[in-house]
Amino acid sequence: MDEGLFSKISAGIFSGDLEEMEKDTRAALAAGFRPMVIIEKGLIPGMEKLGEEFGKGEVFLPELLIGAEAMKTSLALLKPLLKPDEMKTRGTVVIGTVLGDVHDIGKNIVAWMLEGAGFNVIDLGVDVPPERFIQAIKMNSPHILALSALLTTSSHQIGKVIGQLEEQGLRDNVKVMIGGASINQAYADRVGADGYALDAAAAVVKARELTGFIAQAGKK
Amino acid sequence: MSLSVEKTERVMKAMHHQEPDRIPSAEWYAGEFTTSWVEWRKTQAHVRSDEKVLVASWASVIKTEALDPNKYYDLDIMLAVPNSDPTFITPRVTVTDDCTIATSGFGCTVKKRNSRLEDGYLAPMEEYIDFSIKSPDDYARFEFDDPKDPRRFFDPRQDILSGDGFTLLPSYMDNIKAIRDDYCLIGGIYEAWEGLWRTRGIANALMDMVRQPGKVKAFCNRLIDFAIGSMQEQVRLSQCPLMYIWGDLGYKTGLLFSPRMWREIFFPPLKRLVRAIHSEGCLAIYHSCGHNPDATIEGLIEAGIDGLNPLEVKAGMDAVHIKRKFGNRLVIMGGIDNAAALGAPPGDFDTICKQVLTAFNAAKGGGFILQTDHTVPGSVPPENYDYFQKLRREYGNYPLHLGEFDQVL
Repeated sequence: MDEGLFSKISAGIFSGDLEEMEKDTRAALAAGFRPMVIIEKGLIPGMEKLGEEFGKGEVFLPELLIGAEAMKTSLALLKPLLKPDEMKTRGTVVIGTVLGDVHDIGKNIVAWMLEGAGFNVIDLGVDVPPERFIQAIKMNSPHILALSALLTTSSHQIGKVIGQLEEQGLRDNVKVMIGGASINQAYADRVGADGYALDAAAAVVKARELTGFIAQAGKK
Repeated sequence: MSLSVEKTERVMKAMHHQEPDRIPSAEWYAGEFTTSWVEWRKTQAHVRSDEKVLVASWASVIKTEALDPNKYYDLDIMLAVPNSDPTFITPRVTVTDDCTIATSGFGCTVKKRNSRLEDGYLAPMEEYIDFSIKSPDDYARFEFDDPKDPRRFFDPRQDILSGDGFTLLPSYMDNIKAIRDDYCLIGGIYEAWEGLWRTRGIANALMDMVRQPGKVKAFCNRLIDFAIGSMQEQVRLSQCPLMYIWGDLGYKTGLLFSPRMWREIFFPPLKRLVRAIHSEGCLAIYHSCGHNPDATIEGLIEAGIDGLNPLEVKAGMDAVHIKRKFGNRLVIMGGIDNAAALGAPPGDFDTICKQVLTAFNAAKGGGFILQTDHTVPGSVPPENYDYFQKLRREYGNYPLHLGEFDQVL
């Protein structure tokens, strides 16, 4: 089987050429590669490299967005073919922008980058009340809850969500990762979050770190 | 000398990098902050309980001087803008139980909560839920109306994207009449990026810039044609000496797009816009949120801008560094931290004092207009903001004496 297809798929993340990405993904499937192998050897390395270059300031949001769109084009073909629960092996993340805040670009990019890194991502959208986060945690038992807040005036909602996790006895079941323009490490420490990420690339690193911790602790 | 002449002289002296009698100041207040500030003021002495105040927006006319933060703090600059939507429409507004949905002359549809949340918090921003430009081919089909249409200037404004929702505001000319004797006026226009994302959406616009740069560039040029028309009419009607350009190049950690892309797509129309502003006898202050690296600021100066706003501290912008780096080539407008400093717990005056007086070093030699680093949000305690203004009154007169916070530039 032609493993060069994986390089083409990885390169497709950078070019953002949706037609080429669809063609290469279909070619890899036709060549007999399993969907999870295509994700692991084609999409994830491409998204990782894109994330690294973003972290270094060598690519910017437009390139991240076209990369994410290319990834989603490929995943749309691959995901229906995955075995049940196969994606969950890398960890499940529930993500959303907190109540009263409607900013979605940063949250979306983090969600796409996490998906590109092999996480199963459940995106609740923007302006999400604490109760919906709690409900999603109860339904999906995620490894990570990722909360975004861009506005200074909405950041206090993160503390409210964490408070409700504690009240409901769910705090020990999930790691809380936070980010957004109004957030920093000091704020994360103050509200008792498990992790803070400055940008999307750092969010992937942090998510791996947090899920690794869970795996070692044998919680999941 | 009238108040407006006095303030305009003060501001323009600073704009020309000279020290006036005091550091000139400006502020844009979010409606939520103004509301909480008014309530706080009412708890102070000497405010009659029957005084009424129209709390709508920084662009509206607040009737009672004692309850108008601009007048109360004797600020120098007032922003006044006409309807600046590319197409002139009466916004289509639908009110449901929990939110209001409206479509603007930018072709975007926005949604905003009607009421406060349980804890009293009022979500300040509208959510953009749809855009009229659905594909790159639609750019060429988008029609612009006359930026000098008298209705934009003489009819009441129903500007749904003003940040304060869907309030019917006084007309531009009524606003000008109400403020022209008391302030140095600054007009306002949208730069290409700002117009682009409002019509197409941020994510779509950013992707178009990679995939269809030619179509984006052509649209940006049309946006700038429109902005120039609006600017010319504002100057004719108000004789404002300053023009505020809404841009936004950065977010918390960096630029939205690469310097190369900015140079290729946005630099040429910006340069054309600033040249047009200068030819009307105005100076241009460019608004760019987030982190703006020195190289980007260098490019903005090359495009001709005279001043940069708002220097968001939480995004790593530092007024003193900018002053040291660019000296008399750039006026600084902003740099006071609305988040960690003014947004500190009520009464944490040491934190505020340290940040504000350190930033005052950037005002040495003029070239500095005092302002917080974005619209003052509802999260800033009124007493903290009041303390900030007390610092201005105490330490903002030239020559500056900053004591332990004094730095050599």
